Amino acid sequence: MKKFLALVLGLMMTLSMLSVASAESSPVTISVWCAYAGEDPYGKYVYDYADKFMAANPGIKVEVTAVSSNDIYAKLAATATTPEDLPTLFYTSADQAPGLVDLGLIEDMSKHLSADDLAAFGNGVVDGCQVGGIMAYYPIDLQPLSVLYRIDRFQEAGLTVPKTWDEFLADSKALNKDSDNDGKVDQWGFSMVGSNNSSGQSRFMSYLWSNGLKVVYKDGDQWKTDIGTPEFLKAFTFWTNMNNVEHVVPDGITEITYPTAANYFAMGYTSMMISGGNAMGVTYAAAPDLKGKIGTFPMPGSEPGSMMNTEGYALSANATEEQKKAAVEFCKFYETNDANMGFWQESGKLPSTAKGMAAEYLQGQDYAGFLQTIANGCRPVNDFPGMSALKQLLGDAYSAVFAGEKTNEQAVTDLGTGMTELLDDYN
Amino acid sequence: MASLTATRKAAMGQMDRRQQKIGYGFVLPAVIIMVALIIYPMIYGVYLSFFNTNLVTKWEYVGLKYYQQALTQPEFVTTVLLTFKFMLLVVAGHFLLGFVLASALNKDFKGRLAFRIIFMLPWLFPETVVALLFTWIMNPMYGVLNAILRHLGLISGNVSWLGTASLAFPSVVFACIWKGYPLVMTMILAGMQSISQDLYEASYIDGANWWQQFTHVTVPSLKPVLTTTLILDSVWWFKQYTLVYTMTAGGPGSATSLVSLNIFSTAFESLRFGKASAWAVIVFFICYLISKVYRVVFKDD
Repeated sequence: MKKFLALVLGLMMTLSMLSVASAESSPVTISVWCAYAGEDPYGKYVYDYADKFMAANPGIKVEVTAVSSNDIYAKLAATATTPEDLPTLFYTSADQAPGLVDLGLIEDMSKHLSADDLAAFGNGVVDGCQVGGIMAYYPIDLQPLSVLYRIDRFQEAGLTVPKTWDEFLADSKALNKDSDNDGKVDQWGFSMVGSNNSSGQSRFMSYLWSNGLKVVYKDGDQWKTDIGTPEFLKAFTFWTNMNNVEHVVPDGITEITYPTAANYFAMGYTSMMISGGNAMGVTYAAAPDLKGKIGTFPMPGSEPGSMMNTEGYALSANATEEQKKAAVEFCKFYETNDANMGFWQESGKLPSTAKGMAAEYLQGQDYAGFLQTIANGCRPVNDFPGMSALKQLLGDAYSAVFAGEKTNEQAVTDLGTGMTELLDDYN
Repeated sequence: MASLTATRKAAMGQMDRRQQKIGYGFVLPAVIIMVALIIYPMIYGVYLSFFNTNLVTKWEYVGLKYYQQALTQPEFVTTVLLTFKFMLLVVAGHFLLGFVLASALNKDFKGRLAFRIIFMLPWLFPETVVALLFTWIMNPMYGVLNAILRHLGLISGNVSWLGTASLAFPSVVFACIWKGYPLVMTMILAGMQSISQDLYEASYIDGANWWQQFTHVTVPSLKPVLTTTLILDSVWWFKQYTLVYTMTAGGPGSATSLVSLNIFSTAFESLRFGKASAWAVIVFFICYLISKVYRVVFKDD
């Protein structure tokens, strides 16, 4: 009996050693946390490109996990103390990258790209990925914020594209409509994203920038803010008044997330929306008959309101060299494998390469505003490492005023207090 | 004789010690797991609360700064009070609904099993599903709640249930009561089924009416069950996160900004782990106090 047991144990040990040996010769696995993958209608391309990449590279296995762009930052931050749990590649963007670079989670992508690789990107795109002195991610697409608008409704109302926020408000008022004549407005001028999440906060931040406010900036070695100045209060009040006083945005503003606002625009409830090209993808997917009726123009205001808003895949600083190499190859394949540019066409996001940006489908008036925004010059990346906390403070402030909890003055005062405490943590 | 007794005692002592060692051996795995999963994280949380840290690149010792801030600035106190209000309303709703339904389901009637299953359903749904369900029902533009109320002529325009400060809190409380009452109902029902019918018959003979039977027989007999359920339910809903986050993310403004949401946001969105840890430590003591107070109030005489 003892001999038999010894034989079984010996056999098991041999088998386990063989399985280790076979695991060693197994393909390189790269895991990807991807904010594109869960999105309709274009998430399917992520899986499609991964399958094609694996077919072309049998030695590499790509495992894609869909994570919402609003959740991915918190999920990545949670792995800060256990970086071995980080995926090889993960989605990030210009406003999320500073915090992740500060945590030391990101490898400098430029170390893995040749001069030719870098030269293939559009003008200013590589600069748009520079955070804390490194190229924080491989840019897959650009999402400069512009204003989408309904050309047909502008023409019907005899409106022109606004250059200032006052003109924007006047146009919004003119576009408010009681379409069924029941005495209540059921079609609004502006599809504001009023939710207190990253989508709403980013748009509000861009609006502030477009008003010439810096919000947070470096002065010597100190971070400073212009929150609390009379100009800030004026701009803040103008934004909240669009809901509380002017009523040019739909009901339930704090519940309007980006997907809701994009759907309202696609369904015709609203006529203008601040967004990147992704809202174009949502609109065309939901209402293909709107092709030819949608235009875009740069955000109103005295200053550029938008960064280039590059988005893409960051490389884990903790990945093995083999994984890093395979991951960079996957990024390059992702960008170049599809001659039809299915991912970019269906998502509405702009391609990051110079060749992609020259694609014919981008030359209509629906993309004109985005290209004009880039041509006008975007804002440089703001690499304040507490950006996520700052955005949260901004969101808390406008949300409190929308809800009627605070006046504009109270909200801005409290925002100033929170900002002082935040800067104190980073100075 | 004496030496025989001494030898026996020594042998017994040796056996006791061996048995003790075996006992420690059996307990050891549980102790290791508890230390690794409960004690160590708690101690580490307390340690973190003394630092301004993102856990990786920044470790600045700040002493009791975050505790001082929490107790002196209105933000934390307001959030804790709101969380208490939320907990009290939700738990009261659970017990009210739980008692009514458990009393009804304790009666013998046709189809009782089917009703017991139906009333358990909310407990079986994941919290996220319930939250999304109520978010859709209460949507101001296409929600079924507004459609019904408009059809009945009770409202004329769209109501933003989750977007108005005065309505968001009661709306979230309602959803949480709906989600959580089955647990309380089941516990009370199980307790009621264990009460001897003799007690009710004896009280009936003594002339007790329905209310007197309820207060003098049912409630005292359920006391141990009620105490346990009350502690579990209170602590569970005091630290509620998923349902409220999915429905309102703490908004609008700070109308539904519960302490758990604040702690999560401070830690994982703002990366201010020290401040979040200080808040979490205080919340731990609050939860401990809740359980202590309940035990004292409901002490079995």
